[in-house]
Amino acid sequence: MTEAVSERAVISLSGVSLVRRTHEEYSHDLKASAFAFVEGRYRKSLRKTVLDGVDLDVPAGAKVGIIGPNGAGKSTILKVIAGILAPTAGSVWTTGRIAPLLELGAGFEPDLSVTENIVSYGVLLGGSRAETLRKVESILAYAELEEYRNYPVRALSSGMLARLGFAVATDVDPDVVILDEILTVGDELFRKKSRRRIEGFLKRGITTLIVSHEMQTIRETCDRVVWVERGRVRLAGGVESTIAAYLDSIDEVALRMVRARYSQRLNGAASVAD
Amino acid sequence: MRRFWDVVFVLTRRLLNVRYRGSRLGVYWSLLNPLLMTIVYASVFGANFAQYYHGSIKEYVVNVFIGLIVLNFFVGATEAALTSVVANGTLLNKLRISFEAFPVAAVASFGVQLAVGATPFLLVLTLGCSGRPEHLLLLPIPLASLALLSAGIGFVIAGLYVHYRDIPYMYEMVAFLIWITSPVFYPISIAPERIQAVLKLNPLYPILQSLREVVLAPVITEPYLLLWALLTGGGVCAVGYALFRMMKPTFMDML
Repeated sequence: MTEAVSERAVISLSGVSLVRRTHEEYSHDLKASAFAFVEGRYRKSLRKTVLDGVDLDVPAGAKVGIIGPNGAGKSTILKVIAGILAPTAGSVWTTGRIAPLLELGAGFEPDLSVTENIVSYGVLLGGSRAETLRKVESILAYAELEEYRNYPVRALSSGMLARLGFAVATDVDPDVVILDEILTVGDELFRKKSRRRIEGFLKRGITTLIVSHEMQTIRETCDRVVWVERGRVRLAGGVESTIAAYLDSIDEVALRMVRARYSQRLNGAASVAD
Repeated sequence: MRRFWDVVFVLTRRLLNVRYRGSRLGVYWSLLNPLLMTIVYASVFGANFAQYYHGSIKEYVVNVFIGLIVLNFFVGATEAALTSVVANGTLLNKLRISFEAFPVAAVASFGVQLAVGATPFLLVLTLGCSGRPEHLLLLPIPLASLALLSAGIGFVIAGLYVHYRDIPYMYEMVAFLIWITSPVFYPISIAPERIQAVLKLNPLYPILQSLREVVLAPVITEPYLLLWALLTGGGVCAVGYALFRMMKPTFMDML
């Protein structure tokens, strides 16, 4: 089975590790670094392993849910797949057009017009200029912002901005969609519209990766689940079994914490009694 | 490759639009500074320095104007490139964009400004001063060298700035040194011979001198300057690009 899977895989991570400098260790100063080097105090910056030997094969058409606690490396995996972060070790292989629907609207320039921003955001997302220019009208129509085409983006309300970002990022014909939570934006009406578009991607059998803390969302959208913890894949497999194992582990952790606190209190009471 | 230039195009457009806020005449503001400075230099030094320019103040004025155009381009483009990667750190954390596109777009935005703003002046001056239309064909050589040189330096300082945030202060000093050691408003021949040899190591020197010859001289007496300019520009650009690629792997940790 595994052979058949990797044959049709559209995304394949093997042994992917990512080691990053921790933010506190910025030596942001050439002068300071130079003096430190001269005085022999130079040391390598502290590093943190964010991903540790992640293997992941995503076959074409699969809907993969990624679950795990905060800081486990879920979003980092998405960023590695999207090509935003390069792995320190291991290999990432992807094919087809990936639409990362992460933090939409990054890259809007507030002073430029809506139309201008559609083109630049579309190109920065990975489209070609010619293609994006052709799509400006349909994007304006979908975002319901035709009357605002020549307004600077800073004049839009935050809801309109979200609609615009969503419209540009989803007006593509992707082979793979990457989602950080199922996103729906705007007012109630637009929320429905955006949900329909996302569900359209899912129904068309487009390969989907989704990170979510809502187990209900995962159950509804995914056909397999990967549980990530401390930068490693802890378990991968069927939806129900993996979710159950994950929830059990949380219960265990919670139980252990309660026990620890309880025994502490007992000990404390004992020492007072002494 | 196609995608890279699409991204550069979009980024350049954004830079220009933000710089000029949609007013197309804004480009001509960039000419105000060299024109004013030329008047100042001509008033202060013109009478004395004319002797080095066949006794012609007019020739001195053209020399100064060309010098200012070149230096303004170099300093402006490299300073814009310097901050380009760091300034777009958030963007790079959210979208997949090649790092190289940012310094290239910074230089390209000054290239557009030069093409639209100063180039018409250079064309007219070339026809009027050298009297040789065929010199127009040579104009792109020093200008392209200038863009390549700026991109090369831009790559290096943009990459360094990601790691060391005190680079702008140091570069300000370096840029001023380059400015004052370039023969912009003085003829290089006023310096002692030995110092001249050092001043000629300035990568801007062949660009400045060859551009002046193309615009002013009826006969190009030092054609090797054009080659020297192009080799310096191309060489610095290649080295800068290579260094940028070496620094690149750690960028994302620092942005």
